[in-house]
Amino acid sequence: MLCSIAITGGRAESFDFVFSKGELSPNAIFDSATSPPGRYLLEVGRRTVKAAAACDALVIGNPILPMSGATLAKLALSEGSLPVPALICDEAHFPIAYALPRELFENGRDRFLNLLSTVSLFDARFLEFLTGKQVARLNTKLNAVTALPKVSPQGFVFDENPSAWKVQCVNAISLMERRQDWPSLPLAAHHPNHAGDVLFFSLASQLTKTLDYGAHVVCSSYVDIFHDCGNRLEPIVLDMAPLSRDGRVSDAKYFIQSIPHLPREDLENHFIVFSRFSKNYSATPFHLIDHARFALGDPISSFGETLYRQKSPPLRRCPLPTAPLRVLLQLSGGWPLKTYPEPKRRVLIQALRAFGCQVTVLDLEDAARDGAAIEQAGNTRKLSGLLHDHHIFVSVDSFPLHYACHVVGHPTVALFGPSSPSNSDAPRGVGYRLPLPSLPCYGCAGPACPINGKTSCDNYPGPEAILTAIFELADEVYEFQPTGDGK
Amino acid sequence: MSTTQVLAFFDAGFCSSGPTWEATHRADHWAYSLNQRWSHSYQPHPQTPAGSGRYDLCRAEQAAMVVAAARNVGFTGFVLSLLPWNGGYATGAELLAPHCDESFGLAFQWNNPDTADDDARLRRECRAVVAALGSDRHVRLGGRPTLIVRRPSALSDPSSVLKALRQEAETAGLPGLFVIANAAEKTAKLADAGFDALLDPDPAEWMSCDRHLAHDGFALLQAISGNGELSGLSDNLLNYTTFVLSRMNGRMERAGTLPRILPGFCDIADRQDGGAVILKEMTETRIVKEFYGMFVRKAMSLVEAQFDEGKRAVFVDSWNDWRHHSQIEPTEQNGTGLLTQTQEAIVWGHYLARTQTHHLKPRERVADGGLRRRVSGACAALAEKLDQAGIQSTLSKTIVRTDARDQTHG
Repeated sequence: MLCSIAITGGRAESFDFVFSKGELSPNAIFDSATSPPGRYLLEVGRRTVKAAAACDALVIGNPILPMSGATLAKLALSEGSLPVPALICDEAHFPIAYALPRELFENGRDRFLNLLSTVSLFDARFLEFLTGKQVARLNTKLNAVTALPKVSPQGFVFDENPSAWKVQCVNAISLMERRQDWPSLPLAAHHPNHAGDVLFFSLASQLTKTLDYGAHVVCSSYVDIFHDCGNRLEPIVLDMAPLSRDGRVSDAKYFIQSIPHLPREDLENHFIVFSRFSKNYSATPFHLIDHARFALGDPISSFGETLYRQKSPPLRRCPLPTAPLRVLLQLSGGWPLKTYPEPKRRVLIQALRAFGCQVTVLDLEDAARDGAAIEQAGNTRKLSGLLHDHHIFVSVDSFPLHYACHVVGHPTVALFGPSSPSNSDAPRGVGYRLPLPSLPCYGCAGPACPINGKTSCDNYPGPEAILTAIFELADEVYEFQPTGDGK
Repeated sequence: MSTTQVLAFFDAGFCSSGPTWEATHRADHWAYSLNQRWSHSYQPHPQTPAGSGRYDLCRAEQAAMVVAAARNVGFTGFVLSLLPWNGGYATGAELLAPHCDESFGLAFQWNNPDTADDDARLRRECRAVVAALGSDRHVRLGGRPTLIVRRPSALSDPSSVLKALRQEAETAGLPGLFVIANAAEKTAKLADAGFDALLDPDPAEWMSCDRHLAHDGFALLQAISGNGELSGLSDNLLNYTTFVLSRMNGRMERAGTLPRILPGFCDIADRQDGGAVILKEMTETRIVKEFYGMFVRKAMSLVEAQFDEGKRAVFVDSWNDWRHHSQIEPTEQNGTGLLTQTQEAIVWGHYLARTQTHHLKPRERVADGGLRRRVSGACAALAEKLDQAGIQSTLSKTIVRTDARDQTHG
């Protein structure tokens, strides 16, 4: 839960907000995994100012702490008048709330709240620059917040993320000390990998109406994606290998290690914000493009503002004759459980061929024994070419899938098993099929299924469902009907 | 908001007078539901109500509080059982209806007898059932009041019963009935009976495991020698995660079956001599803690995809069946955890349903039954061929049942 107090002429009014589980309303705030805690402080502040238009100051609860407005009022206002700006802390200086002047939300500087660290020493110094005033640090009687869990019930991942929030704030203070003109400098979202995530951020930058950011840090190996997806932000190219998915290095550690690898000029001209996952994204129903849009500044306060009500790219058809129907398959993804199970894959490929289709498989040499042609799609240009030469694309949850349906508009069948469709699907309609996985489990990124221990995912739809979806699409887009009985 | 209705089975016996109280044949329904002996190590620990406490539905303000709590969670109605009373049925609807409106209604479940070939009795029964439904405050599916037939397989001729029910409904001035069979699949005589939908049976009615222990001599000797529980030999302990997965597996191909979602189940109170069914989680992993909520929202997502608008519903079993440990009402032991999980899952489920709707693009074309049969046949033949070649296939679990699917999409 999130909370605030609006102070108007000495009178206090408290507000409660929740991290949304699907309902989007003035008090249910979009739950974005790619937003640091400061982004919620910013959103709560903006909404409070909107609700209490005449307020003089705001007290906003630290977003990583579960706290109601009533509790905050008891803690923050028990000592009578409150200096503004101020940090209200527990008995051991951990910030539990921020008292901020109202004008911060009117002079365009509120976007810098993204850079807060949730460490009182740094946040106090940072707010001094931001408000131009001394920041009081007030201890309350709240017992010390000593042990944060690895993951909070509100979804914050505390493992190593606090060190990333700290580094972004310290860097920001350093930049503010060096540059008189710091208020004019843009924020840069540090979200350099992976391929699909760069695509989502790029598309989000196009859809975001209120951009709080001006740049996007991207790994050099994904710059083609950045450009081909039409990113509105300025690229800051990180000359460093993308983060490995083996889990040995966290997003936070990678962020810290990457700072010295960023071009010096960019570091001097941007505030770098940790924009990888501060929260667990699969603990929300929301699309990752919307996660990124919220991070970049859009409030997404109604369903009508979500991706599902935005314009999709126009449908692009393969210009080749429909006989034989050419089907391109991407059956492996970012981690082992994402690979479409081999027995089902063999049936799918052989069945397609039995119905007279030509089958090309990306990146899986083993599929050649079932008669598929094998191709590699190393970059977006190569992938575009392959899509152009195939009528239907079938893909697991991976970059090629998102590129085909969100950027190219190619007729696509999306396959989901260990990941949740709503985090990375596309709006339903002509040219897109998503045979729904039927098991209620998902969010499995480990080497094996946490329920049955298998290294393949049982949640993927069977070959019959996929084949049916392919032929439905072929009929819908190309007026193609398969002949024969596939035997 | 999506159009999927979320309904909860409701025990209306918690009242202190009136037809429903008389129909339960017990002075204190709370005592009957809660006072259970804890006799087996695997039996869920007794729970006691918190929140609304031991309410009395005869008191209007307490009935209103219960309905308001259910609305707040996101339910759109309760399912009430028809209890034999005074030659007809009592439901408790009169206690709840004053607090219902168009956004929260009542559906009904008929624990039907076997009608055999007695036409006159059948007609009497159907008249009594329709009379018990009342004239308003209904949960409507397909625009009609909703009735679940709890034991459809006990009907010798389901189609004639359905016909009689619908005739009685027409006579009573109702806009027909949406009749749901409490059955997993449209097999044998249910296939052409004319039910509007099916509903997953409860765990006691739908066993997915053999009662193998009853025949295990070693376990029997262990129990006799005092090293085990004798009645436990015939009890059925179902692992929650496995049970849910088996219910949802291949669900997209099992068209026409509405999901019944349970947070747990135990009918030891009704089966002290053995043969009880206990549904509970045996392991503690990250995923398991959230599994009930995932079950709710996935069920809503699939119903959105499978059923036509106005006919979408999921059934949570239950709001207050304390006797069978399936209640989601707050408990003194676990607080409001299940209620909150249900509330969040319903909001999440509605969101998922909305993401699946066609808004900016035309609706997709759907394959006909002929193509589905060809695809299904080809895949089955290939799977068999590959199996014979020594490859383990998982296909058998998910072969499309084209006949069932055709009824919805044909």
